[in-house]
Amino acid sequence: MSTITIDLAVYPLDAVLRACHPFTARWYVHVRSAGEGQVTVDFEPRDENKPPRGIAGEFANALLDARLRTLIAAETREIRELLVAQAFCEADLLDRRDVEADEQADPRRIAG
Amino acid sequence: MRLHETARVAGIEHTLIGRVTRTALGDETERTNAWLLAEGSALACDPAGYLGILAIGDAAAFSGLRGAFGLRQLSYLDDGDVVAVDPNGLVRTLYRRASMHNFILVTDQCNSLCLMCSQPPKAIDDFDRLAEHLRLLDLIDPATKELGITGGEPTLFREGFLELIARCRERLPSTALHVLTNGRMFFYRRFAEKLGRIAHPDLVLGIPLYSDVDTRHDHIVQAHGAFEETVLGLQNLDRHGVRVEIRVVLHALSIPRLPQLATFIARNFPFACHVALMGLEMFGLVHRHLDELWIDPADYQRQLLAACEVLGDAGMNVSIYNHQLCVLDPELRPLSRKSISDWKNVYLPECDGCALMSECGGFFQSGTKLRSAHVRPVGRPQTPSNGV
Amino acid sequence: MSPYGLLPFRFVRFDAARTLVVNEAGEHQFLENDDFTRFVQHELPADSDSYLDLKAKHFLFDSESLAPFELLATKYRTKKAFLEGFTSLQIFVVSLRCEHSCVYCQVSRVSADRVRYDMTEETARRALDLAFRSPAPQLKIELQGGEPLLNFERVRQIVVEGRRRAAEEGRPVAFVVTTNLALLDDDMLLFFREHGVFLSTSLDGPEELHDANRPRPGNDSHARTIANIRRAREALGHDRVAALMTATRRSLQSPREIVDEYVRHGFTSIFLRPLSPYGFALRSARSTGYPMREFLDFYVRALDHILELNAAGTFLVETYAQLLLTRMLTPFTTGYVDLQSPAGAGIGAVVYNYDGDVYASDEARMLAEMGDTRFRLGNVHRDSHESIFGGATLRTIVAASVAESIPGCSDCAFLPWCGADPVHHYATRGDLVPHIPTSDFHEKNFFLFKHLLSLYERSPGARRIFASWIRSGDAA
Repeated sequence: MSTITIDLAVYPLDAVLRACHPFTARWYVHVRSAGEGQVTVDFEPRDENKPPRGIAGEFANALLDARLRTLIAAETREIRELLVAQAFCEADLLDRRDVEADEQADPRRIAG
Repeated sequence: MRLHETARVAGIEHTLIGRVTRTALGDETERTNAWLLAEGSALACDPAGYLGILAIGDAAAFSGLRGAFGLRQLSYLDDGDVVAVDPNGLVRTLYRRASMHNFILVTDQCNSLCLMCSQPPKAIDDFDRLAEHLRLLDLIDPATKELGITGGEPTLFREGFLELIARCRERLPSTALHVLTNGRMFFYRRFAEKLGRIAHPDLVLGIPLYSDVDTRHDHIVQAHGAFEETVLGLQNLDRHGVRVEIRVVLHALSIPRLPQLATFIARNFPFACHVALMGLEMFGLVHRHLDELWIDPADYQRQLLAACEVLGDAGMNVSIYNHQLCVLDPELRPLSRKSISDWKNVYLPECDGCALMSECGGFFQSGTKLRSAHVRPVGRPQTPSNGV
Repeated sequence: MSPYGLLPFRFVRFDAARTLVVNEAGEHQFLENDDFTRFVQHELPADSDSYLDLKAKHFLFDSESLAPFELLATKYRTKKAFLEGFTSLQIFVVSLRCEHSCVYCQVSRVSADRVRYDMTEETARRALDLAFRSPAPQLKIELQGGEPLLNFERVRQIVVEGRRRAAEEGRPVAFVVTTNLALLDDDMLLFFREHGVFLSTSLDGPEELHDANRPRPGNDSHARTIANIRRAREALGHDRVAALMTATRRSLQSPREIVDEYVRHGFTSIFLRPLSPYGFALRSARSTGYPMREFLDFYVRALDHILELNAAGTFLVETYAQLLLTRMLTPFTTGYVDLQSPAGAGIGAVVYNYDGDVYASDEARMLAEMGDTRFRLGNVHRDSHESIFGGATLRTIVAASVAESIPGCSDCAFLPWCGADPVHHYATRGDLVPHIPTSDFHEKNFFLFKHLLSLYERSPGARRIFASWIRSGDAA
């Protein structure tokens, strides 16, 4: 078993769980609360006879990437939701007044 | 050839437009729309009922008749060609049945100012030309295979532009229409919808896109926001069933990211019916921006090949215009179209002996001074001896 | 540093030096790791090539322009266009009977004399009623079994009736009969020719391999298949007969030989398929089965050989690669129902069993044959279109088949290119939702996306060949 302690102020729980998920192929992963703003993650090899090595380094990288994914998802969530809605919707969800304007009125002054 | 001449006119108070004829016309309406040609001193028939006379001889020889006189040449005109005569004596050939490249220059106005513009715009309000264009459409032979609609920027006429397309559909339903436009007005979706609703049976809008990067495109066309407008315009046109062609002029500003532009076109505008990659015309505003724009075509074959590969892989139709075959990578020669129109082609002394001359478009007249340093005759392919 | 915002994308560490980013519309870009870090930290210089590439490909935006958003929305809609037609693939299982005993058979086979395993005329008519309720602009009707030629009068009825209805509606319909060809006779060929029917058969490889996989009385499956492929091509046209193979453990030894067999017999496409965990394959798993890793080794060697052949002038498409490449490299999607999100089961394709039971997929039907009727949507004799296609069963399947919300898929860079297969996951681990880290579906697709992308990047020759495959397919 390998135990890793994680400070939730650095890596939110969401990122921790996402990082853990791919490791469940070869490990049983136990996530436990460890007091104020901390969790421990224990890796128990599924196959006793073939314990995989180098888990700490791999997991650290996975945590970083998971954190990054959480950030990117948060930053792009609103646009993504609008995008998907717009793709399936006949009506316009954005403020697209200009696009629906009359070419004679030409509010954007495209004609110069 | 389209000729403009100044003649002496009589009885022309406003511009008159009519079809040309050398022989008598039986139908009364046809006569009122026709110019009777007089190459000698006599008329082929009684001039009564005709729009007027176009004559080489003096007005004196045709006393009292309305028309244009003292013209230098009439032999190039065929029956059915359309000629306008202005009150100031200007005689303009608007349409020639024998030509493969008839077009209507809708307006001299433009809302872009491309660095390489070969038809520099004028800041005038020439909206009143619409009436003339509509009149011309009434007179063009419906058997005409193709007609161009150009400018300036034709869509600046807005409803007038739509009226032109509708008139084409009505009068010339078998004539393929090719409109050259920057497409920016189609940012307004409803404008695209109206054009779509006309349902012209064979309409293509040729729309330039010079970069996959908005700021670069805007710089080349010298109009802020043009990229956004053109890109949304392309989408709106497709949404409303209007066919589009995308045109790229190749020069030092568009070449560096040409393969990326090809990817951009393939991913975002797969519906484009054609992509035209065009050599630079050395005519017009380009001369003010030569430093920024000039690149020897022989030096950009790598990017051109890469771009054509991307577009070809995506199953898009690609043509290369305005390039000499010797300057093109041999793999690209099949994409080259002999496009320089019949009244502009020339060849150079260094072309002598070239095996590909008949397939090559040669040069623009304007393009013979500054052109590729690599123009050379292409050798004949080896032929086996003794007919093996 | 000019400020820019991120547009939605996912990433994967592709190799030691590079990170791959893929946007919501499935466009991708390779970035050096340092560039990627700068990119996500909003520190990429605005004049760098990476910046311009990412802006043009809609990974970042730096102005109020509507263009990126509009283009992305359109592209996303195009990628999901397969939803518009709803059930365009209608599968009719006209008989459960078969005279072959293929080791991996996906059908609970029944020996050839049990007539009660045939679809009746009334069942076929009702199933056609349902099929033509589909809003799809064009239909593909596939006739399967068992061996459909054992119930040829039903095949005849469905084709004739189907064409009549299609002509009335002005809606194009294509017919495919999936058959081992062993029972093909001249009357059938005449019929197929008259009605423009396509044939799809199995060719597992050279004679010894094919016959070992696909025993029949007389052990002459290969000989009959080849002879009848020839007859069918003569009667119907060369391109009207397609073949696919299923890889057993035995097959894995012979990638080149299998490919060569296809070339020898004039095929222009080959579909390299691994075993499915259903039907007899599950029972014989110990002798015929294998881990996905071994199939992928086989696949790579077969694909190498296929690419060599193409480079030397023999046009041969690997069908699965063609599907993946179309999803990766074009704005379009594909009609292959097992690689869509939401999955095509029940909403892209539907199966009418010989007894009138309706299933979301062939796999769902298989499970029912093995005793688990959880994914039966209804029956053509008893249930309305609304209860079949709007009922709880189908909704449950669809809800579990949106990859965008499956753990392990939702963050995956390859999501826009991939899909979900809920019934497959249920059959292999008892849950509609996969456990991605141990899923063979994931292992296969993840590996192939990386492998194909690597080939595409490294080899201009492979790129040309892949492009020719994409162009020869018909994307949805």
